[in-house]
Amino acid sequence: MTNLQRYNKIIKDYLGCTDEELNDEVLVYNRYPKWDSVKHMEMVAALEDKFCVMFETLDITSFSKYSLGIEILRKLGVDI
Amino acid sequence: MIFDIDRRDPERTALLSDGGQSVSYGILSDHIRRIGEAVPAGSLAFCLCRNVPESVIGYLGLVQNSCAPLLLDAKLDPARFAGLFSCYRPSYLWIPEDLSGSFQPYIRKEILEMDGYCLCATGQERADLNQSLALLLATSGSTGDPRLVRLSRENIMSNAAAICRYLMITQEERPITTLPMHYTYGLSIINSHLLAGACVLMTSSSYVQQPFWDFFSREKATSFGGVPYTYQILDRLHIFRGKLPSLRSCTQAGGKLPEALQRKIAVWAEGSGVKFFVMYGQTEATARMAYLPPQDCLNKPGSIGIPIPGGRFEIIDKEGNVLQQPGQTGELVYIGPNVCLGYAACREDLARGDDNRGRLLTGDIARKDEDGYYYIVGRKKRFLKIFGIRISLDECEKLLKEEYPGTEIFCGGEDNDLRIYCRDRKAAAEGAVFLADQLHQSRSAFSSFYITQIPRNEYGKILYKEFDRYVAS
Repeated sequence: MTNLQRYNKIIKDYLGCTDEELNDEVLVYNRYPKWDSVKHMEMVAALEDKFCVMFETLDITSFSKYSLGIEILRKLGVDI
Repeated sequence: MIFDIDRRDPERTALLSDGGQSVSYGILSDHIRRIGEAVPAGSLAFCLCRNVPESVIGYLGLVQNSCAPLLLDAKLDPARFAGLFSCYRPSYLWIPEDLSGSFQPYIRKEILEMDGYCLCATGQERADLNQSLALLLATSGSTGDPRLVRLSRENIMSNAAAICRYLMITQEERPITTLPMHYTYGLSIINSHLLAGACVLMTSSSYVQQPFWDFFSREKATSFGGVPYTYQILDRLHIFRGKLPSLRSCTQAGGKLPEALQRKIAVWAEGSGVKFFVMYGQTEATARMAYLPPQDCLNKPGSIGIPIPGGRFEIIDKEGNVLQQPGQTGELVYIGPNVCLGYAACREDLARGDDNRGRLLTGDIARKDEDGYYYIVGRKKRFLKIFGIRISLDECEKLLKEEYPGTEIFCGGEDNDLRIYCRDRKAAAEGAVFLADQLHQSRSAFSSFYITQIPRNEYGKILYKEFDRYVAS
């Protein structure tokens, strides 16, 4: 499994979305019905576990759409 | 007018949105009058709320005009809305315009439009409302239960006034919304600050998102409220390490904060010149019943504090006798002018009068200490019997958390079948045996499970009934 596949699996597990929905038009915080603060923090914790990284405050608060999660992981040194 | 809104300086800002919309007390009282003119007094209305000024305007306009609005989340599941609609058949809806399409089947006529919200008639005949009824709130956000809490204007006014007094709210305050306004605690923050003539900063964005904090610092928020889960997230966001220069106070209610976190926040608050209030309330008491004065936060950890001004507590045994001695545990009873009229389960119940007469059985088991400070020991329903012995599930969770530190562990189940759910493999394997031995009970009545997720509602509250759905095979 590639890191991108791992990332996508976590997003799908927590938000219950389909492969087709994995994009910035659909997966936006608060607009996508299931992406609320509870799910947000659970996803952050799952990403931290899976990729052995630590999200800083600004990483958590700026993770507001699908692609930004990938960008933050890259910034934290994950090859994705 | 409600909260004396028409007697404030009309130029002062009452509501300020993150979209830049500003509503002064003068405009607010005009809007409240406009809604009053459009709806006949004594009508039942559903108000679909967001944290935007128009939601507050609609709610106040309806209450002011002796209508009974039921406040609901604008994001409410359509099936749940349909259930409530057919159960109570409101004559009016106050809804965001962008949702009017999905509510089309319920709308007969649009009556009034106001900055993105509209008032619609449903064509339903008028309900027979009791004269004292002013507001309806749901007790649970997401479940299918149509049960509502019936509140009077006296309930709303007395609780707002009591909150203003013990929090010492002045017109200089600028609370920022962190909780939805259809939730009793979120609403109480809006009510008490409008009564004080303050300015409420309204945002729909969450504190886990950057726009919230941009709005917070741009508009110099002075306070916020939160349930335990809010504070757990804020802790994860390292808020209690830094400084929020404009912040003067913060409040916590909606359940018990883990004591270690309470201590951490209290120490941070003291060092930052912030007043931190732990509080206790229920929808059935309009919102608030008790508060822990900030100076007691460190020496009375775990306490819900003392009754709010105008209220008092009793602790009663199973037979209803009042227990006078400190340390005795029993059900907590609250007596005060903010105790709701009662519940409603159907449209006919809206005609009912005051069932409670100012006295509320909270369903919480509590004790008080020698200084008159109260402590919640557990929820009455959070007890079950193992072969005839009464066991507190909260107590069980405490034992398990001490044995498996840092693990999230929850207890549920029914009589003779105590079920432990956790996010730790080791605790899932050993927890049942450990707990049975600790309680000197037969192991056969205990089982433990590893769960893939912790079921929570939108406020982060644990949904105990849903645990079995997340048990890993």
